Order: sequence, then C-alpha cells, then structure tokens
Amino acid sequence: MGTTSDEALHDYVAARYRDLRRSAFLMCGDWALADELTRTSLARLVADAHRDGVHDPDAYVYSDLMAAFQHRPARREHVFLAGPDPTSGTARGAATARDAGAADRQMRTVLVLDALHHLAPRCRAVLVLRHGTGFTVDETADVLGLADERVEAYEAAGLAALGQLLPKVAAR
Amino acid sequence: MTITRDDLGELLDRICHDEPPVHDGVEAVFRRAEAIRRRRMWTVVAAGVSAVVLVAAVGYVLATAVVPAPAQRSAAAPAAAPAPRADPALLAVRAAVDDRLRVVPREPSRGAGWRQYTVLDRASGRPHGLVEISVYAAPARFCFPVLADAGACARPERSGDAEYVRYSDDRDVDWQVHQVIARWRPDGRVVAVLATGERGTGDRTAGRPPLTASQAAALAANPGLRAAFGADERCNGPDPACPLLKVPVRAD
Repeated sequence: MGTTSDEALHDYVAARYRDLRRSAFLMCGDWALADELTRTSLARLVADAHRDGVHDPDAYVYSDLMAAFQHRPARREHVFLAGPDPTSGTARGAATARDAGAADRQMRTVLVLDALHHLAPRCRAVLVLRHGTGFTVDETADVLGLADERVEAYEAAGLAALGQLLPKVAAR
Repeated sequence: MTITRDDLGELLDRICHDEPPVHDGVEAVFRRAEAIRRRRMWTVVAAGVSAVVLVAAVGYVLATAVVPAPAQRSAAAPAAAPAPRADPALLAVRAAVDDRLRVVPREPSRGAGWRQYTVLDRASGRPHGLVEISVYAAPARFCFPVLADAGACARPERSGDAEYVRYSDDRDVDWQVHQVIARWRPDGRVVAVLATGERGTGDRTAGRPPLTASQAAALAANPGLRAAFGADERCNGPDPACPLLKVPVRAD
C-alpha cells in the first residue's frame, strides 16, 4: 500500500472494518466504543496512506488500535451487557429474551468479557490477536512491539488464567 | 483446568455473534480521515506562520538589542561631540546689546585678530545687522583719526583702562554705522568695533546699527573683549578676511 489509490483504500477498509471492530470489542467489551476506536484507527491509516504510504496496513491499524488500550485507564469493575440480537425486531425482543439459548449465549458473552478484563491489557491483547484475529506469533509481536518469546509467555499465562476463570464456559 | 487454543478461538468467535451492523462505518472512516488531513494541513500552516512570526520577532529583538536606535545615536552624538569652545568676545557682545536682540557668530566667525557676529531680533528672528571687531598693534603715540581732517588726531575719551573715539555715519539709510576705535592702555593694542545696520532695508529704523555708539564704546572698553584676543592676534597685515572699516585704523 505504498502508493494507495482511493479505491484500494476503500476496499481495504471495507474488508477489515468488521475484524478490527471485533478485536476492539474483545478488548473493551463495548460495541459503541469499539466502533469509535475502529473508525479512528482506520481514518489514521487512510490519512497516512495518502500522505506517506503505509507499508503494512494490518500492522499499522492493529498497532494503533492496541495502543489506544495501552493508554486507556484501567477500571477495576466492569459491567458487560450482551448486545442486542441484530436478527430480532423490537416486537420479537421479549420472545427472544425468553429463549433459553439466547440467554445462555448472553451469559457466556458476559463471563468471557469479564474474564478477559481480569487480564493485563498486554496479555489480553496477545490473546485477542492470536485467537480472535488469527495472527501468528510473529505478527502479534510486530503489532505489539514485543519479542516473540514475550508473546508466547503472555499467551501461555493468559490461557492459564482464563482456564481458572472460565472452567464452566470452556467445558460447554 | 487449561483452556486450549481451539477453545478460546471458539469462545471469542461465539461472543461476537451478536455484533451490531456496520451501517455507514466505512464512509465515517473516510470522513474522519478527511478531517484528520485538514487538521494536519492547518497545523502545518499554523506552524509555518508561527515560525515566521517567531523568526521576525527574534530578528526584531536582536536588531533592537544589537543595533542602537537612531534616537539613541542622535542623543549620544551631542554628548560625544566636544563642547563648543567658549567665545569671550561673543559674551562681551551679548552683554553690550539690548535684551531684545540675539547675537550669533557669523561664519566665518573668527580669524587672527578679528571676529564677526550677526545680530537678530529675538522675537521675530529678523537680522538686525552686524558687529565686527578687529584688533591692531599700534605705536605708542597712536593717532585717532578725524573724519574731517586726514592729518589730524582726535582727542579720545576715557573709560577705565581704555581710551576711545566714536564715529557714526547714518547719512546713508542703507548703510548706517556706529564705529568705535579704542586703545587699550595696558598693552597698547587698538580695537575697532564696527556695528553696521542691516543693509538695503531702505528704512532708517530698520537699518539702524545693532549697537548704539555708547554701547559700541562700552564694548570696546570691556576688559573681557581685550582678553578674548590673543597677544599675537592682529589685523595689521594685508588680510582680506579682516573687517573693512568705515574709518580705517592708522596703525603704522
């Protein structure tokens, strides 16, 4: 993406928007905030691609996104609510809420997000990038500016911690 | 219990199933990018303007600090210039004239044995004539001239250490003259004070000499005037700069 045309940029943003927003949501547990952070990171990519060109857009946007969480003040208490089911209309909301499967899914979402937020931001970022986005250790290390060994150590520690926090969820 | 890599990937994928639609997220990204681009452009412009203003301000401060201001130079110039030498003859003339008149040197204002001064009306600044003073070495038996008889000697009046004779000629309204020839007894030198009214006025009053005959006599007898001339100053020689007297001094 050295000399970037508007069309190529638009295609890239359209293709990566959803993945980036998912990563942001896993980091913060808030779809609105995830949307905001995703737009900001992608907008910086577009602006910089027009000006100087960006060699590796994936590394650029994910680095920018994860840096936002590094500087975000940590909160000791988190209240996570599962998002609305996009397939359900307002009239069908009550019926959906009564559905046992949906309730179970919402509960699982809250538990996983809460467990993730018990981890240190960098450890959480490693897990999100490795298991939510599918980056390799090398790519994750580039995004976070860490050595490969540190990425592997964070990953192992994060998985172990989540195993303690989510035994029932993982067992399902 | 340990969560495996596959377990976590599946868990994370499942909790994102309920994600809201993207709506106009992509377009919002480009709008925001344009805003960032504009903000950066204005930042660059503002930084450039600030740099120019800063350079100009620093240059101005340095220029004013290093280069003295013209006002300071003009103020310093009189202080640095040597003080004008006091002219005792000028002081003597000023003491002799009326208070309504102002006396200034007339360039060339001085030479060996002579001085000349312009007299101005203090209020209007109009010229009021000329006072010329010349000094001569004279023999012990000096003969004061008599206008009516070239071979005769006038009897002088005395005032202090000086003896003098007054000569006035106001027949020509355009060249009215009061002249005094005095001899300073202590050193035997002769001084001629010639007060000439403003020439060419065509008016008797306007062309009146700046000194009356009495004032001219007092000036000639003033010891301060004698002290104003050095002992070796004299107008005896053929010096064209010496005043041309109405009544020549016969100093030979």
